[in-house]
Amino acid sequence: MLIFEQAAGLVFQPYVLMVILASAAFGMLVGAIPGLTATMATALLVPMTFFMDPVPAIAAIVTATAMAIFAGDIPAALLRMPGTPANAAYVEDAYRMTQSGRGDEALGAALVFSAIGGLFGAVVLMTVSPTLAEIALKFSSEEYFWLVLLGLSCAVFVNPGSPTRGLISLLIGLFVATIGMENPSGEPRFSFGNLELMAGIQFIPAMIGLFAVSEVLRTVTATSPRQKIPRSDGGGIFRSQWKNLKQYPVQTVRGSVTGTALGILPGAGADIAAWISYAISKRFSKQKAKFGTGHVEGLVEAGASNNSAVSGAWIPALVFGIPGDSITAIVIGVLYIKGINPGPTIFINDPQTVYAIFMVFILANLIMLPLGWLAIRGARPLLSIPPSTLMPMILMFCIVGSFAIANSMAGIVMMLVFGIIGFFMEENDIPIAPAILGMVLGPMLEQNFITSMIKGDGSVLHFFERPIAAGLGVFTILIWLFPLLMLILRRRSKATVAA
Amino acid sequence: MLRRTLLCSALALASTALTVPAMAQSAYPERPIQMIVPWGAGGGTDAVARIIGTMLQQELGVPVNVVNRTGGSGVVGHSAIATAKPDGYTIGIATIEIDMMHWQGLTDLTYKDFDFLAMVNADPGSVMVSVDSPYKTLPDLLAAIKEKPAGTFKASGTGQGGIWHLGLAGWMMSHGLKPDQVTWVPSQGAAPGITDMVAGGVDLVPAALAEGRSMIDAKRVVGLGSMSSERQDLFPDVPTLKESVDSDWTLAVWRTVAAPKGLPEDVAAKLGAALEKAYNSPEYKKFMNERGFGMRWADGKETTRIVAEDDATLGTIMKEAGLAK
Amino acid sequence: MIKLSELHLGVLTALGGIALLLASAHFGPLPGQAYGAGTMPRLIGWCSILLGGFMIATSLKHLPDMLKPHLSDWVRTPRLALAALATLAVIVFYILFSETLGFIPVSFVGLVAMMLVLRTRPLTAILASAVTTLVVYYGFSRLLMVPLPRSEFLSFLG
Repeated sequence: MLIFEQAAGLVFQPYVLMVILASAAFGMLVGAIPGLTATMATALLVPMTFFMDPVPAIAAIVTATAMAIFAGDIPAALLRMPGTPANAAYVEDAYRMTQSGRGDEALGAALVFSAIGGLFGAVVLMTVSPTLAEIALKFSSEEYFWLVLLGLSCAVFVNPGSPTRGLISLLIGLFVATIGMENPSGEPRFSFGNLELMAGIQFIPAMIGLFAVSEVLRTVTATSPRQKIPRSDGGGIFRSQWKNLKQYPVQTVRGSVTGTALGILPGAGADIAAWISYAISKRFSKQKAKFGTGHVEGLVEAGASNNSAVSGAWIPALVFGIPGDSITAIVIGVLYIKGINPGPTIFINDPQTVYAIFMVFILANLIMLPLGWLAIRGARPLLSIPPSTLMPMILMFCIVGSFAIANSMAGIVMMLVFGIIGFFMEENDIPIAPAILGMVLGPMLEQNFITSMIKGDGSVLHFFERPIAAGLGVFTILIWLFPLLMLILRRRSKATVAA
Repeated sequence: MLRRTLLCSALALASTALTVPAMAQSAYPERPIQMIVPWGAGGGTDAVARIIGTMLQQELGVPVNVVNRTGGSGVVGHSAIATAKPDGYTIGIATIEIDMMHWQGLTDLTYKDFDFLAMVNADPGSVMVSVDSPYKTLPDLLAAIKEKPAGTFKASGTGQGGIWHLGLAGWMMSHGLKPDQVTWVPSQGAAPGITDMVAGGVDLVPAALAEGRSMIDAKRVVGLGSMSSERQDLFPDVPTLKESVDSDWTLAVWRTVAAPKGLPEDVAAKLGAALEKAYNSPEYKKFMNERGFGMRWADGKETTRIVAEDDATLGTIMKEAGLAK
Repeated sequence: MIKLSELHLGVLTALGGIALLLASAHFGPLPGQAYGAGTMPRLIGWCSILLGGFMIATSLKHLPDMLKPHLSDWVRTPRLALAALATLAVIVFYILFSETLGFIPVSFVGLVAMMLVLRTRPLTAILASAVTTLVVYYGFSRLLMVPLPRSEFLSFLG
């Protein structure tokens, strides 16, 4: 108990609380601007943390990143510009909800379930970190290979329309991800000697192009002017969430668990967690057809998932100093600078600091509620601007966001190209979501396949040699075979009935 | 009245605009400096750049903005530094990859396209194994590598043809073995490589000890040897390759502060002096020690010499290992 | 732009797959391995060919209606076609001129032009563009350290 008191003493100081508040506002701002990522928010905070004590320094980063992931939902819901790849999984539902006047409910759901997911992850972090980190350590490329294949099967579920057009989209995404030299053999592919293409297609500009620029194009070319968005009845941000929680308790828990589990794995993370959770949600939903048309269910599950993944990523970071994502990579550096060495001993040497970090996690996810409410209210007037004025403004944000991710003009060119591609795809009923999934998973699939092959000296059996890999492999194959089996069985029974 | 004020300010503006070029040399720096990092936010180079940037900012009195220009295994960022205007307002961190990528045929850019201001850090390579590895010492490991057929052992820690891949090849060649005696498994950096080694995916990682520090502290990874001529201050228990297996192979990755070729001499002098002060500050020293990064100072001239020397060595190895184009 | 039928898309997909196979023919495997840089592109190429073939086969049943592509409605409405062109033109304008002229003038001119094309009232357009430009400029370059292109001749603005 003494440790808790000491930890509380470290956290509940005016200075620390001020830092938390300021970095929360900062994280909210950065996350709400597409093109600026949670990683960037963290990197910008680092020089400031040089002059702080360990606890406020970590508190600043924890708070800012938790906010940034949620804040990415704001432009996603209002402008169809997902702030981070993790928000892209359910952007369609959030945006459609806003268009039909349920923007407050959509963002409220994103906010509340982000906080729930984040809190869940924090509790797991507090209770069973060492054990879970031990398991995560057993994952090598073979296990990740199966996990990625499992993720790819999500494409089948996230796809709202015709299966062939969903597959075209997936293939486009997979192809785009092969461009450049960031592949296992380090050979430049399809770059035509162009320096920027050699670096590969930048993900964020491509995403801004596919979603936001194509939406601008669609709005300005709409033959019948868009109907005015019905005003949300004020104050509904939280009101409908109690109902959502009661209606979707399983989804909430499932999303939090999936997110935390994937967050713990150093080779996965919030992006893939959101997609898998969205797919699971749809697969087991009673209202599958509503997904992608402005349905809150997937948003609940995936929203909880991506924030719990952010908390989960801290588990290997604290226990073994293994970065689960680029944010925790920075955090580990900061920990070292502050003389706190991550590792199993951190729980013995610095328990008060560790518990202080846990408390900050909980505080950060709680403070998210009022601040998020303010941000949602603050962003709402955007919707009352007529499209003829708003669309150019959005376009300028797209341009600057695409530039900011790598500070290069090439990002804007890529945004333009993908804007046209996205517009063309949507005019032809080719969904965009599978392409994003392909771009996220393509490089992971290739990396893990090739390296596993090198390790196994080219033997396919190698994918089943390790126990966890074998389990995951069999599971994946069953999932792929299941629909096929069902089809055969149904045909059979039909045949017997006919006979 | 308003008109006259406007006119006055316009005139004042015009005159400043005209005199700026003449004043530039004496008054450098008078606006923010951009520091380009060819690697991503969160990595070691990014961290070093940000602390150097913060210290430089204090020395020079203007903001130093760290800008990540990533991609293409560092080609994009290094090109951005080299092709900037050599006016002292764009500088950057050049890393050892500048001595590798032109051999790989990725770019025409070489160290000759830069004016080096200082070397601020160097980390020697090492040989690390998992604590579960049956080989507890470097001679044991080397004997097993020699004895078993080529390709039995796997190593990881960078991409194909990356610096630690070369480090491994160079070490193998120093014992008269083939450069690919140990198979290279490409990874997206040292940390994923080390994680994979602990998971049992590969047998050894030849990256810098600093990169495996948390896992070494957690007793999951053991450093068997250091690719340096002397033991490293932060890892006194790890012997050098020379004392352990009598290999002359050494390799260190370094980080330098560089500017595009053609920097005016007075600007270079001012930046060099500010960098030396930053390097010698207690804050920098503390930062580097805590992170486990090796301290290494060299002024502009000395840096250029080291960079040129490494360029030749790495070229030879890459040609022999079949990694050069 | 243009609305394509299942048949057209199938042909395009298959052709794309073939192009991908040809373009990745020269990628060699990693030393000592059967796989390398070409594996993934070839896999995508073969999948595209299969998918394209399947789409062509299934659409042959409805052949006559599948042959002719349809133009989207907006292409035939000059006002809307102009709006689409303006959107793309603003991006191209920014790419071409922001480095030389700096962010502030290029953003302002681009915004005003596009708003006018979309028929925002001129005064509103100028005000909204000015506010957007300044907020974006100061927000990004000051607060978030994004090096937006500077305008030398506007250097008194910072």
